[in-house]
Amino acid sequence: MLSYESLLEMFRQNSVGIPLITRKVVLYHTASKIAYIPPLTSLFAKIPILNLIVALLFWKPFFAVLFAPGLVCILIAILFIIWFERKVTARVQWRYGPLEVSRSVGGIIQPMADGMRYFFQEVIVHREAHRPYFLQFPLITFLPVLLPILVIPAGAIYAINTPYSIPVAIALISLIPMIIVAIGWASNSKYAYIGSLREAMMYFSYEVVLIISAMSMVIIYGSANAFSIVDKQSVVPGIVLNPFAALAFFVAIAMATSRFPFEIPEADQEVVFGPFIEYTGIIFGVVMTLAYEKLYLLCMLFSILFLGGWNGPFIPPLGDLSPAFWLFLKTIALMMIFVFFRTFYARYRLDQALKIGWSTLMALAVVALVTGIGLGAVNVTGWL
Amino acid sequence: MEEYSVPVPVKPPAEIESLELPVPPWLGEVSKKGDELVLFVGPQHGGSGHMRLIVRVHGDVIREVIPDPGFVHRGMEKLAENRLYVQNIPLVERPAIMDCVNFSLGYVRAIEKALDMEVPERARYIRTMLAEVCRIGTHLYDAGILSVFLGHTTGFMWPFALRELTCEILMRVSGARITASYVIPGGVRRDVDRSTLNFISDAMTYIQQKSKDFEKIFIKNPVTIARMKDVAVLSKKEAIKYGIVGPFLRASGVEYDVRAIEPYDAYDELTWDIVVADDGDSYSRFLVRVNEIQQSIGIIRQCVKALKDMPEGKIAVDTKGKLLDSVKGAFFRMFGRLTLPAGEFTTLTEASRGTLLYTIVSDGKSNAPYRLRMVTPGWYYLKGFMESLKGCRLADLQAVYGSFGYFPPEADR
Amino acid sequence: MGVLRIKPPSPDFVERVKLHLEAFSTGLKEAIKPSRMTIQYPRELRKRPKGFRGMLVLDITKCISCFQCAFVCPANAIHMKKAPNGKYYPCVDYAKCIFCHYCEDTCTKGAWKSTNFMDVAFKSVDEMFLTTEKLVNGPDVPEEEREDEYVVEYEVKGKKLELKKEYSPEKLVEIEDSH
Ligand code: SF4
Ligand code: SF4
Repeated sequence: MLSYESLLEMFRQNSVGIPLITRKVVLYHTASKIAYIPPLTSLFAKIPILNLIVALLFWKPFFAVLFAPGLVCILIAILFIIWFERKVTARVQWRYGPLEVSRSVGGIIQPMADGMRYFFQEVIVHREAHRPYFLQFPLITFLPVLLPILVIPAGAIYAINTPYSIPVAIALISLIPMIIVAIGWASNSKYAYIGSLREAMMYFSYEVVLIISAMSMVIIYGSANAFSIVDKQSVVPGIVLNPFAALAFFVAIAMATSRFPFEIPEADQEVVFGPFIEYTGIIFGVVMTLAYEKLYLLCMLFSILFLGGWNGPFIPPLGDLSPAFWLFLKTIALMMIFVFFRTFYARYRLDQALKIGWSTLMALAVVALVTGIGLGAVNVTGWL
Repeated sequence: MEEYSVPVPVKPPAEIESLELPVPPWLGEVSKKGDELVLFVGPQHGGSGHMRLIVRVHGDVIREVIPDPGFVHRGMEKLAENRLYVQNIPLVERPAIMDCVNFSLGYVRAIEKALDMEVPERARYIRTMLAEVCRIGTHLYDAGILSVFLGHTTGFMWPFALRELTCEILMRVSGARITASYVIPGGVRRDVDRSTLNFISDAMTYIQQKSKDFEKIFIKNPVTIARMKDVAVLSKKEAIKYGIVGPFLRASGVEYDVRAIEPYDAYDELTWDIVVADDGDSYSRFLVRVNEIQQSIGIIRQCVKALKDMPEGKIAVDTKGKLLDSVKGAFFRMFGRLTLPAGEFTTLTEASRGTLLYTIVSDGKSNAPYRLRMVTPGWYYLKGFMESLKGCRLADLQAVYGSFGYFPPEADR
Repeated sequence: MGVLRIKPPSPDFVERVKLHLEAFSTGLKEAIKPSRMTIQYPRELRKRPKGFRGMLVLDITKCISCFQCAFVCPANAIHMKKAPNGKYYPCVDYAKCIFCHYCEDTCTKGAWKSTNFMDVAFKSVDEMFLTTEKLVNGPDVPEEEREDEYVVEYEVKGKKLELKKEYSPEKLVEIEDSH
């Protein structure tokens, strides 16, 4: 049995150190007096239940899932990227984009305003729907979104340090299409049916390429542990070592997250948001952000595999958060590239996407794998 | 190969019985058996416009599409029977408001034919110029709709923004942005001054220049080419058989353009080319219209030049053959008691989307048409549009829709 | 009159890559330096050209009650109402009016005049029926609710489209002088 004290001790042993909030902040400093603001965390250190909660929040596994790189970061990333997507598309299209909500800051709180609107909208469950599943599946989607966070570390902040972190993360991420297909089934409408079929087909076309290109990098580094992968990229990032794998992985991400030109399952002019056609209100808000959440996760994987992950100059005040910050920055930059595709691409047809997935992209992935095996055999990362 | 059947709990659409749909009764049975899916696209669907398409799909391949038009039928022909001749001008341009000048031009020419009016030269050039401005506007509009049907939102916004310039031209010339009601029997309502003419040629320069960017981002985008090339092919024979008209007929290799075959207004005094393509697929249907925009710009340039050289004034002629500088105050005298001689008067016009036919039947006594027959290009090519869809993929439905620029209000009248 | 036979392009792999990059660079160019043409209504108003067909104003001193405008109006929007002086004067039902200005072209005495204004909203359908008194004064716009700061006009200079901005006029509704 764990006692209260030992539990508290366990949390505190493995807690996130952020000098910005765990250190005393000195206000002024004269010969006789030092005045400071007590650190936020020690505020509750003596109060019974609260100290456990605070310790739990800063406990690394919990912090990873809940704050960085987990839920809070996902939320920030989504709010920013939706705003950015609308803004950059508007710029290219000779418009202004969202502006009226807050003119002085360029309408950046527009996604929040939309979220509020979704929140107060009526949730309609139509007669034909499989009611319990129809309402449950959107919430279940949070599982495959948050579980990969457990094995994707962000520098010092990590939940599980396993030698299989990359394969496990990919396996967990690929659960998301299952739930989308299930959502389409639960909606029980023709367009949802077509949409989930399209989702299944797309899944079939990108998944193999995604795995092969990730594995070719794993072969180069000789390890599937995120820590050693990032370590080995301290000099040369993976994108230079194996650009074919990077390209294949990049296109596979665009397919996986239905970005343009592969926005096929949700094509709103063809199948009107496909699997999500019957959703309204906040549940629609939840399922709509699903693709963005997946994009966030896969971009994080991309930056770990190819862009040197959390490598970057250390920022002292952020402490443990500094590597997480660099990872977040790289992820956001990647996401910005992905959403920019909306401005200049139309969408392919389903059969064309399948063809691309199994011909051009597959060839690219095989080249990447051969390159990976070659570079792995000569142990290229050992020399660098 | 062994076949597995997966029970999909989708009931056949109840609308088949409850609404009076133009479908054969066995269609409900088809969707019950499960081999084919009967899909109702529209009229509230994002990619259908104001019409319903009943699609039989087998897997991802379309077997048949049955159109259910008429959602925006306003009874133009009947409405026209109890209005003065001149009051019908704003009415007949309503079906395709971007194409207003071409639509009123056809109707007005039928009246002129009946009364044997000789339109002054300046009015003819102004009419031709504005008809081409409307053609550019409509083609840009259709290009925008096509792009958004393919999911290309920038390709949607740019033509719509450029179309703003054609609206601006119409506003400066006629006073209204879209429903110009500008062409009247015997000429036009107002004169065009020099500064407006300058603006028109400037705007044409801008459209021409920006369409180069549009070409890079949408027309020659490899995704666009992949989506439209060799899709929904109509051969020359089929196109003639199904009665396709306008740019869509020319895309199948038929060199037919009413402006060239039966020239009206100033078309025979200007130099321009009939744009023809041979493939007959979605992409050439689109490219023909893209190239027609360039031709129209050329025509407009020539008209502007001719109008600048001409003396101003004399833009209309009244029923007695007197030339007028302005129709202000003369409207009632000219048209209030206008009656046509008994008979049937037919004109063909090349509207943006194809041949437009007007027939006015007059009994010789009343001041309203006895009967107005109006066949719009959309109605002509609806059959060919439906036929070309057979064998396409389901996702092509919208792409082909856009490539035909089908506009339900125009077809339904 | 010739025939222009177009050949649709069918790019090979290398050309396709080039076209992909061209599309991308065009998008990027616009993202960096957009050629916007939005007019931010209601802060900016579009400049109405001379001869714009807007709301109507009636010069009652010129009207001779000839009924011609009501006869020609294609939308049956003009009603003739008897005034205290025994003559009939036109009223306009803006629920029906389509702004064709046939009435203006009809009137032999030039009693109808156009304004540069048509951005009007009515609170009810009944209010859309403007009696002769209201027509004489022109459209009624509450000045304190004005939001416009600029009047914008499209102008093509060289190869660029410029939005020429001027400060808003003091009076929103300007009656056109007869020509
Ligand atoms: S503008 Fe046209 S519709 Fe309006 S009142 Fe005058 S004639 Fe009638
Ligand atoms: S046409 Fe002119 S004069 Fe005659 S009733 Fe109308 S406004 Fe009065």
